[in-house]
Amino acid sequence: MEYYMITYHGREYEVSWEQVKCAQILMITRKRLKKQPTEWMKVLAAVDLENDPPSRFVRDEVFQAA
Amino acid sequence: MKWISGYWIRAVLIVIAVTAVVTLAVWHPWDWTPGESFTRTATAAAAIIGAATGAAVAIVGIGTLVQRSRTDRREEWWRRYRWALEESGSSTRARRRIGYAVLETLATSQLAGPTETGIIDAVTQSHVGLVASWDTMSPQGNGIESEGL
Repeated sequence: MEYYMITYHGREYEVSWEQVKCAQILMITRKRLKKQPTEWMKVLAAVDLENDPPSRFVRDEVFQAA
Repeated sequence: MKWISGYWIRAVLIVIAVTAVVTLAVWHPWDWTPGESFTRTATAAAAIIGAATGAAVAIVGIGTLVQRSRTDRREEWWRRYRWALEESGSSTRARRRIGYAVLETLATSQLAGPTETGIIDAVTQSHVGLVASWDTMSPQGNGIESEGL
């Protein structure tokens, strides 16, 4: 699991790749629903998952015996 | 059955109206006089009415096919959505990413109407988890926080 550091209201938070992706999906749905995204959605969605380096990587793969 | 009350009803009504006008133009019953051959004009009118009925039936048939196709595609959309949702909750990182990528694609699909988009919105918000509560959090805190899914 990859984590990214974001600053929200002057505080730093560590968010996962999945949470950022969720926020990016929510930006799409909010636009289609003509609803304003919340502030945290905008902050999270602004993370560039392709280029921004993650702050932490946690191996969470589950390996099962064949 | 929105399409029946909208576009397709209007199309059928236009066909019927055009048929009526053409029939009157060919038949012109106002010029009919006793002794004139009625059969000839009546046959032409019947042919036109038959053709118009056929056209109307064809329009309704095409409408049904279009509707069926759209229903099939939306059912497929739902099937893919359920699959993507399951994948996004997978314990494997690679599968989760595929799931989210498909969810993102499905969110932009034209097959997703307001209801489907609303569902994606609600479910995705629940996926984000505690992050959603930041807007109501006290500004005091312990600095770096990690929010797991």
